[in-house]
Amino acid sequence: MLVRFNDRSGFPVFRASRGLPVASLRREFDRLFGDLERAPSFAALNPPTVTFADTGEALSLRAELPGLTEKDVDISVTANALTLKASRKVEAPEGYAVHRRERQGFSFTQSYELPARIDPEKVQASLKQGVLTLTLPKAAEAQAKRVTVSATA
Amino acid sequence: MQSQSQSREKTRPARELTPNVDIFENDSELLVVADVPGLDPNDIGVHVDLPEFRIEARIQGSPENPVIYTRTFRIDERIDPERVKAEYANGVLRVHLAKSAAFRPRRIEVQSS
Repeated sequence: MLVRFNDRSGFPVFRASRGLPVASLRREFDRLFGDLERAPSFAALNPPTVTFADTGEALSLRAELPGLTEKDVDISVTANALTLKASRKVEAPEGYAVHRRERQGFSFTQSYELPARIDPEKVQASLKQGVLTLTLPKAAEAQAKRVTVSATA
Repeated sequence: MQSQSQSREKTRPARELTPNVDIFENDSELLVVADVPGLDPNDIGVHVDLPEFRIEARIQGSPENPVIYTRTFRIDERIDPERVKAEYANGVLRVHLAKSAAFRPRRIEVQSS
């Protein structure tokens, strides 16, 4: 299940559950009627928000994972691919009656094909207030080189 | 902030996000839990203005694309506005709205005669 790194057409379109016509119709209705249908089955289809950037020297990833700590996230990288696993459980606190439940647990696994070779040894990850930030420095051979134009008389 | 918005043509208001919330209740309080990742605790505003209770937070990002989390709830006189507590950890905001003493269940001892 590889997804192109820069696919901006929306997130994991290659997932079976998302690709079904019924699922996309549901999503459309969900969007139209907004708040009306925040039912678990609908929201459970929503993966965490993940955005990417290319800063020149490095690729970066930002994922919104509220409520997660370091131990809930598993990241593995190779020179040209990245796999991100994250899961969360949402439980009602003990002794409380439930009025509304919109926050969903999820179990998320996604692999990304990277558009440039990176140096896996230099990857940095931090999780701060529920936001995961990954910095993937590009390998030396993938760095942009300046070409000097020499004038010939 | 006010003067700045007047001096510049306002073409695009902040994008408003509605955070997902869970609401729980026990004998002594209402507990509102909201997913609002990536905030500085100082940028989170929890306003109690009966009969409304509002969560509002601005995401520090690029100033060209301001993003605000906002959600408003209706509460009634059972909540004591002076005793609202909020905590923020791992991108999750938890607001404890304590009930006024008069609306908390009280155990009545039965006297034996």
